[in-house]
Order: sequence, then structure tokens, then C-alpha cells
Amino acid sequence: MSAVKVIGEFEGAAVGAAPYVRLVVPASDFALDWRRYNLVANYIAEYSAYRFEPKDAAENLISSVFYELIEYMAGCSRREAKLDVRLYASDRLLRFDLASSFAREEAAQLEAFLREMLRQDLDELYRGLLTAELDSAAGRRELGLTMVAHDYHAGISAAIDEDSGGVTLRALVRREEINA
Amino acid sequence: MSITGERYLVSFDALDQQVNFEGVLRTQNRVDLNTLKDYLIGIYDKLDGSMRLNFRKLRYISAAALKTIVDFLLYAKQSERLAVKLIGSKVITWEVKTLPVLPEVWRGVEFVLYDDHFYESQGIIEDAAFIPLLRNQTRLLWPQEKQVLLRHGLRSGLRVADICCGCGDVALLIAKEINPAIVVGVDHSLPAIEYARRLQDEFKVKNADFRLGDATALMLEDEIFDYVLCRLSIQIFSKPELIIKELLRILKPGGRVYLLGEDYDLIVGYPNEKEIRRVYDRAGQYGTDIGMDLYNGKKLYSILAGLKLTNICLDYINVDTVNSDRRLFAEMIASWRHFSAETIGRQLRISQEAHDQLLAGYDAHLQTIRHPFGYSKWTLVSASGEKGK
Repeated sequence: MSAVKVIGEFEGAAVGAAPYVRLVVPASDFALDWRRYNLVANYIAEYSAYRFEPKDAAENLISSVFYELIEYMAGCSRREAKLDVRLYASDRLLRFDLASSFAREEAAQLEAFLREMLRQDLDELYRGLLTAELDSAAGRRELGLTMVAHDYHAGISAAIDEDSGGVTLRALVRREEINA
Repeated sequence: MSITGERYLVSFDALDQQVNFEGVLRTQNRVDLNTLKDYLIGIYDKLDGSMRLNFRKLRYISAAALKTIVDFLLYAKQSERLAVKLIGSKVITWEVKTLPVLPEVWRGVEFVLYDDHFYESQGIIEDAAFIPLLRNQTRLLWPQEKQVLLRHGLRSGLRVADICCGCGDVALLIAKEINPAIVVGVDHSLPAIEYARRLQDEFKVKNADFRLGDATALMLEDEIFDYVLCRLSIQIFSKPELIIKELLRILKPGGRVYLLGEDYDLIVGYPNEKEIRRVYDRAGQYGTDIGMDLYNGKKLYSILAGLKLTNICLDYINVDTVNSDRRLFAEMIASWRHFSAETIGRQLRISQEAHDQLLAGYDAHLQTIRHPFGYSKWTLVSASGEKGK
């Protein structure tokens, strides 16, 4: 039996069973051409924006959030992993789910960072990352997650299967953020 | 001066001391991001007063690119020489969410939403429909006209007057980039002069002074300026000799008067060359009908020679789709289209058919400019001469 660790409030967000849009792509595609981050984030945003009002604001929000999440997940994925990207929504929430497979160290780093994010004052963490020397790709990816959590008031959580390396990263954004 | 990358363009507008970001800034390329930071620092180091970063046309930004902007702000914070204003748009979600965070990094940064309070004077000046048009013309002309002015004797330390200065863009550019002892700008429009003073104050330009005045009866003493400019103005007055008399009165003996004029005969384009010729013949005639002279470029030499000025210099300024930004060029022609068909056309009560033909002609010209293989050229004439000692 696998041991799945949950960091943050992963459950409890009721959304429809079927995603508005789902895309499964090889994680290594992003390493081959980083422009695919933008391509995929925009594709999902443009595809699903018609379900929201105002459409343009929703599209910009969805793309902005997905971009940073995809960058994090693809950047940490195992070379052979598939990245499974889904957008769900309810009357109250947008749920961004991204699943992939990480090496043990990357999974541990995600867990440590999310625990730090939960523990620390988010304003301080964000300001600290913005003003720090961020020489590593990992540091910049963490800034991306913090930006999503802070600027879009997203609840970020993860489920990590320590045995298989399976990771699901989840961001919950209140629907009213589209208008805020 | 601009930099481009995968899907983005960053350019500097000297008129507003503003860096404009356009497109999608989501590059992962560290070299691109370092180039961007160096570009911003290079501009910051050359300015006084304030610097604006305008994100209104930036559709997306990544956290990594945002970090580059913050790194620049940290540089600005260290030197604390300029105020930095970030301009966002209400209609772009990321700008509303993310840009307000940046003033927390440094209190010298101000974030404003263009739609709410930016350019409090904009409402005033945009009521005067011609001023945005003049600003676009200056953007297109200045890179070449600065060199022409230097060739025509404008230099550091002179006392300069810009008569009919509009909202002061060229006077301020001269003050900042050529460093005369003083530039006095005079215009008859109070909103334009107020706008010029506001820009002067924001950019901390000390060697400029803007005054409300009538170009045919200037409240300026005789023979106090070394260099007097009158750009794109005598063409709109039915009695240009009254202005020229004043320009010469305030000019010192041995000083130089500089005129910039248009000439609708010199506007060309391809494809649609016949339609383009026809529309400027027609628009030029309408201008003549209301007392303007949109062909005065070719007359400037004769005007200056007739005044017995010496050492007359003459230059052409060619703004075309090769040496200039097609979009700016098209925006200017779109403003002309409106001005010609709506403002002048209505004043002359031209028929609906003539109105539609005029619009169709300008549309053909716009099509030529916007077409990636189209070519068009707008030629102006600069002429200057020296007043006898």
C-alpha cells in the first residue's frame, strides 16, 4: 500500500466530477522547448474562458496561474513522466490540478516548500523571494508558486505518493478573483 | 531604442520618459532577462525626475520576468535618484493582481491604473483633438529632426524659443538632449501649456519655461534668443508673415530661425499609389479652402530668402515605413483621417460622397502602411536662416 502525504488543504473543495479541460503531455516536451509553457497555459485558458464572465479577465487569470504551476511541475518531473493538467470549476471555485511523477528529492523539496508556505506569513515570504538573489531554477519556480498563492489568493496544496513519486499539485482560486 | 524577444517588445518613449512593454514576457532565457535588466538600468541612468514603466499592452508576465523587473527596482532603490511609476491597465487581470505588490519592495515606486487616475491632464489635452496627433508626429520626427537641428546650428548653451510649441514635447526634448541655456516654449492653448509645465515638473527639467501667448504678438523682448523654432505651425495660419515677423523680432542678430513645414505633394506610397495621391490632393485642397497651406514645405526656402536671411540651410525629413514604426505611422494617419474628414470636412460641409471618398482614400493609405510589404513616405522640409548682424 502506498503512503500518500497530503500537504495543505487538498480535499474538501467540491467541484464537478468532469474537468472543463484536461491535457496530458510528456513532461520532457517543456525541456525541449520552453515556449510550450506559454502555449499550454494559453491553450487551456482560451479553451475554457467562455465558461466564465468576464471572459477576458478569466482567460488572463487561468493562463497566469497555469503558467506558473506548469513551470513548477514540468521543471521537477522525471524525464519519462507525463504531465496531466486539469481545470475544474464550481459556482465558487476554480481548481487547477497538475499531476506528474517526481524524483524523491524533488518531491521532498516541494513538500518542504509548501510546509514553509503554510507556516510563514505569505506577504513576508513573497517579499523575501522577490528581493532575494534567485540564481537557481528551483528558486524561481518557488517564486512562481508564491506569486500564485499571494496575488490570486490561491490555496496551494499537494498529494505526494512517496513510493511511486506521484505528485498532484492543486491550486484553488475563488471564482470572485476573476472580478477582483 | 528598443529590445525584442520571443513575443515581446520593450521600447523607450523619450517624450514621456516611459518604457513600454508589449506582448508576452514569459521568457525562460536568462540572457534575455539580463538584457532587459541592463536596458532598464541604462535608461534609468540617463533620466532625471521620474521614469515610467508602462505595462498596459503586456498581456502576460512570468514570475521569472517579474523578478527581473524587481531586480531593476532594487537597483533604482539603491540609487534613489528617480521616482518610478508603474502603469497598469484595469482590463488585464495579472496587472491588477501583481503590480500593486511592487511598491512594497520600495516606497519610491508608485503604481497607477491608467484607467483611473493616470495623466490627470489627459482628459484636458485629449479634448483638444490635435494634441495626441502632434505627440505621435513628434515620436516619428524627433530621431531625425534632432540631427537636422544640430546640423542647423542648434547647440548647447544657446537661448532658444519654440514658438507654437504645443504641449512642449520638442522643447523638452531639446532641453534634455541638447542642453541649451534655456528653451522658452510659447503656445496659445492653455491646456497644452499646462500639460507642458506638468511634464517639465515631473521630469525635473530646469532649463525650460512655458508661457501662454499669441504667436503674432509675443510678450517677449526684442532680440533675446539665439535660436527660434517654429515647427509645423505657419502652415495653419492664413497670415504666416505675421508670425515670421515676430520670430525675427525676438531673434538676436546673428541668430538663426528654423521652420519645419509639410508638403502634401511629397507624400507617396505603394501599393495604392493613385488612391494615396488622390486623397492628399483632395485633403490639401480642403486645407487651402479653410486658409491652411499644406504645401508650404516647398516655399520655406523662398520665405527665408525673401527675408534676406543668410546661410540658409535646407533638409528633408523622410519618415517612412522602413525607418519608422509602422504602427505609429498608421496611428498618425488615422488621426489625420479623422481630422480631415470630421473636423475640416464638417467645417466645409462637404457632401457625404466627398466625405466617404476622403475616408476611403485614407483607408487605402493605412492599408499600404500596415501591409508588411507596403511602402509609404511622409516628407517634411526643414529650413533655417541667419539674421544679419
